[in-house]
Amino acid sequence: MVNLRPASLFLLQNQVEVYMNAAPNDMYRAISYDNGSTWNAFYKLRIKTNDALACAATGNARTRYYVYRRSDSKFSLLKRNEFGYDDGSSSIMGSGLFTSAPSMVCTPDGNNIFVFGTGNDKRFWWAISRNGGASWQLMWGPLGAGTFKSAPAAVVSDDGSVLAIFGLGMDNRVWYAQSSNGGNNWNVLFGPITSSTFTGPPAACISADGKKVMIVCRGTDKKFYYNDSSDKGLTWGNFHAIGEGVFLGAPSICCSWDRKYVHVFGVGNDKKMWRAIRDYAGSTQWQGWWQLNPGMSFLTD
Amino acid sequence: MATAYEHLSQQMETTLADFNSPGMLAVIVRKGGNETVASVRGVRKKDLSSSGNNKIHDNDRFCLGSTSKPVSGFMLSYLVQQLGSVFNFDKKIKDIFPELADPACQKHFNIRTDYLNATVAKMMTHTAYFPWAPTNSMDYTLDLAGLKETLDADYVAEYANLKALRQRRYNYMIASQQDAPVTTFTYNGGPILPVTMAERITGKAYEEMIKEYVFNPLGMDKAGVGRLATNGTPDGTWEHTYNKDTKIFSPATKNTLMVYNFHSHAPAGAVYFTYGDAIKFITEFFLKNGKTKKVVKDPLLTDILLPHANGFAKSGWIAGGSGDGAWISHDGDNGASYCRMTIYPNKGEGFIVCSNGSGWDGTYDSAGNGVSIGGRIINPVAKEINTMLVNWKTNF
Repeated sequence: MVNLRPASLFLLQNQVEVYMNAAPNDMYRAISYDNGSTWNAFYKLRIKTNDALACAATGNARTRYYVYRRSDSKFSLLKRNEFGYDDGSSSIMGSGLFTSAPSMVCTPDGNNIFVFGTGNDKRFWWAISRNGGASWQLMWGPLGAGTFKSAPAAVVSDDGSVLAIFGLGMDNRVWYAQSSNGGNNWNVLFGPITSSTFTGPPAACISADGKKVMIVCRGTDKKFYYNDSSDKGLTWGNFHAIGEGVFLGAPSICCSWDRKYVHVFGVGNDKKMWRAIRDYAGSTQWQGWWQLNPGMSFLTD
Repeated sequence: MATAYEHLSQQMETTLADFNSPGMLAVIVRKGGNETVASVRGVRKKDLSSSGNNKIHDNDRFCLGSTSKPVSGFMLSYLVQQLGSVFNFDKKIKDIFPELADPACQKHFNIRTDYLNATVAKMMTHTAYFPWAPTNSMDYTLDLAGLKETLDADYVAEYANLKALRQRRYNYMIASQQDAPVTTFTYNGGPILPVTMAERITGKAYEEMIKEYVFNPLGMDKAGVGRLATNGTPDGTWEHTYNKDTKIFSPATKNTLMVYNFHSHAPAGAVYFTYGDAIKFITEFFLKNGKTKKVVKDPLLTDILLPHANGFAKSGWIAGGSGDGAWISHDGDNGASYCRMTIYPNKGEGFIVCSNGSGWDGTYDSAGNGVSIGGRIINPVAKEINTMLVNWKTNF
C-alpha cells in the first residue's frame, strides 16, 4: 500500500519539485522551472520507501536533504547534490522506530536540520543537527506528551527561530506546538487548532521571516482545507476549503522561491497529481485545481 | 615552391609528430576574408587507427575552450546593440536580478553583497573581483552527470533539458556570489554571469541564443555548443586528456556524453567550430573589408574590440596594438582541447589553431602556472602562421 501523500519543495528561481510514490518503493519526481506553470515528466528516483518522503533544500539549492521511513520502520537520511540524484547510499538515523512518515525542515544555510516522526508510543519524537547532518545534537527525544494518529508536519523560519509542528490528534483535530527560539522553549505544546476534524496528516509552510504560517489538511469530505496564522503560528483562524477538489490522500504544501505564492499538491480521485496555488502576500483566493502530467497515475497498491 | 596549404599542413604534421598528439585544425584568413587556407590533420580518436574514417574530416568540430568567451561576448554585444537600455555593458547584476538586492533573499541564498554592482563590462574583462571559479560552482556536477548518464536514463532526462540548464546557470550565478572577492586581477568565468543575465531577459538558454543571434546570421551551420562526437566509431573528433607521466593522450570519454551538451559553463568553454565556421566568424571582425556586418554593426563593433580593462575588451577578447597592427586574440584550454584565435581587424587577417588534445604537461612557467601541453602544441603552428602572414607575398 502506498501512502498517497506527495512531498514538495521549492528551490531558487521558480523551481518547484513534487515527489510521489507511483507504486511501492517506486518514488518519482516532477520538476517545474516556472513556478508551476509547466512541468517536466515524472522521472523515477532510487529512493525506496512505501511512505511519504520528507524533503528540504538549502537556500542556494546546492544540497537537498531527504528523510524517508525504511521497511524496518527506521528513518534514513539522504544528502544529495543540486540534482538530488540518489545513488542508493543513505545513513540510518539511529535506532528509533516510527509508525509514520517523517517530517523534516532545514534552515537555508543547511546547518540546522530538524527531523520529526511519530513513535510507537504515538508521540512525536525529534532529532536535531546543527551541522548539516554530520552529527546530531539530539536523536531521538520525545516532544511533549501529546499523542497523534498521523505523521508530523514541521516548518522553520529562515533564521531558525520560529519552529512549529502539527499533527492529527487522536481526536482527529489538528494539534500544534510552537517555539520562537528554535525549539529551546515552547510557547505552545500542544494545543488544538479549532474543533474541525480531519482524516490525515496536515501539511505546513512558512514565510521567510516566520510571521506567516499556513497548514492544509484533508477533511472528512476528502476536500483540502487551509488555515492561516499571521503571528508565527501562535494563533489560528478557521479552516476553509480549497475549491471543490476531492483527494485520495493527504496534501503537500510548499511556498514559491520568493515566498509570494503557496502551492498545494494532492492525489485526486483519478489517481493523478493535482495542484492549486494561492498568493501568499495578501489574497486568500486560490487558483486551481490543475492536473500535473496527466499520463502519470499514482496507484494505491 | 610549396603552396600555403602545403606549408601549413607540413608544419601541422611535424607538430603532431613532435608531440604525438591526436589532431589539429588550422585556418588562415587574409584579404578581408577573400583568401583562406584551411587544413585539418591527424586523427579523431588517438587509440584507433590513423587511417580511414578515423582521420579528421573537413567538417569535424573542434572545441574552442575558453576562446568560447569572446564568442559569447560577441553574442552579448549583439544583445547590447538590440536591447539598449534593457541590456548593456553597464548593467549590474542587481539590475537584472532585483531579487538579489533584497536582504531576505541575500540571507536565504547566503550571498554576499560585494558583487551586486558588478557590471557586464567588468565581468567580461575579469575585473569584477570574482575568483577564478566559485567554491560552490558545482563544477563537479558535469562529471557526476556523466557518470549518472551511464546508469540512469531518467536522470539524464531530468538533467538534459534547456530549462534545467538555465536553472543551473542561475545556481552558478548564486554560487559565484558566496565567495569573498579577490584583491588582485583574476581571470575567471567571464561571460557566464552576463549570459545568465541575458537568459533572464530573453527567456532563452544560451544554447538557443548563440545559434539564433550569431551562428545562423553568419551561416555557421555546423557550429554549436557541447560535445564534438557521440560514440566510439568515431563519428567526430574526440577530445583527449594528457598524462604528464606517460606523455600519452587518452580519449576523453566523458566529453562525448550527451550531458556535455547541457553544461552550465558552456559560455566560457564549450563552443565548437568547424574550419568553415571559423572562417565566417573571423571574417565578421574585419572592419575594413567593405562587407555588411550581419551581427554587430559599427560603431559598436569597433568599440567592443578595444582594450577596456587589463588588456581585455568588453567582448572578452584580449586586445592590443594599433593601426594595422591592432589585434584581438584569445587562447582556450579545457584540459582536453586547446584553441588560439587571433584576428587583425584593420588588416583583414586572422587565424585559428585548435588541438583536440590538451592537459597539464607537468611543468610550471615562470609565474608558477602549470604549462599546458595544448599550448605547446599550438605555439609552433601559430608562430609559423604569423610568419607566413608577414612573408606571404614573397613565399606564396
